[in-house]
Amino acid sequence: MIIQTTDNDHRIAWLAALAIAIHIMESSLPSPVPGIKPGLSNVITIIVLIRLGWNAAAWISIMRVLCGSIILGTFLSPTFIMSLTGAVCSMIVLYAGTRLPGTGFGPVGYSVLAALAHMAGQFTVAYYLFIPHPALLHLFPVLITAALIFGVTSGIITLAVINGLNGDGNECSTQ
Amino acid sequence: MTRPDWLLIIITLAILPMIYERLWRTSGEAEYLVIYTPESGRQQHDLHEDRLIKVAGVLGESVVEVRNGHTRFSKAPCPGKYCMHSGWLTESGHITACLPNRVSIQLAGDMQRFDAINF
Repeated sequence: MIIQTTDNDHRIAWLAALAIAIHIMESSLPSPVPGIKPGLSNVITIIVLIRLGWNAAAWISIMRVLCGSIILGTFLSPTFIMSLTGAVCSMIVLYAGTRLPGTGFGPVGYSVLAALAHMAGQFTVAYYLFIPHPALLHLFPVLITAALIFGVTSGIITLAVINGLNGDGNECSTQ
Repeated sequence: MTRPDWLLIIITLAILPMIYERLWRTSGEAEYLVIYTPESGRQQHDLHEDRLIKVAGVLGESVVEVRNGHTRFSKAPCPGKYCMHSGWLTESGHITACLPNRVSIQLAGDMQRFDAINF
């Protein structure tokens, strides 16, 4: 049986591949504190959220976590569980964010929301599942600060990319 | 950037100091010893009397020594013995964890100069 794929499937696959590539490149960056990383693949998720909608963004986000972990060899490990929790939490919060009445969030707002939700979700899992020790709580403020900084940074990158896309008048074409 | 974007960042910036305030308290002398074990969770011990406290972990028995108001792991069943090598805990907030045995010890007090100290 041949599964028929649509253009939309192809587009999502291409964008997911891009997100996975960024995810893997980023995993080789050293980090001063475990849990702090720029989360640049978030840029792809937010662009997709704005251009193609929440469903496509959720697909890409989940595919990034699954494929990224298989490639990095962390599938079903604690790292993977943390990564998946982060992705699921950010997608839930982003869904709520898209329902906001009025002007709504721009790329920076979405990015910050996603980063904060990602960090809060991951921290909760790390605390309750892996290291249920009060000392871990001391890390939380630092991690949330980092999430805010990286959320704003990748939000600004997203904004620049979206402006670039709009300027060219191109759709997120993959053909 | 839209108005909700700014609002979100400002609200987060306003909440951050509160999180720091709540989770990062300030400090002083160690008043008691807290031992965390997988079976009995958090247990509090006083530091007045020099003694050896035996606690059960996942791998076996860890021995926590209390002397002169200081404490350390003096025996542990873990392979690496990092907990023992980290030596004496002397100040409130000092903490050592033996991850393989899932036992950790911490000096604590109502006033803590440090929230946690690790080497």
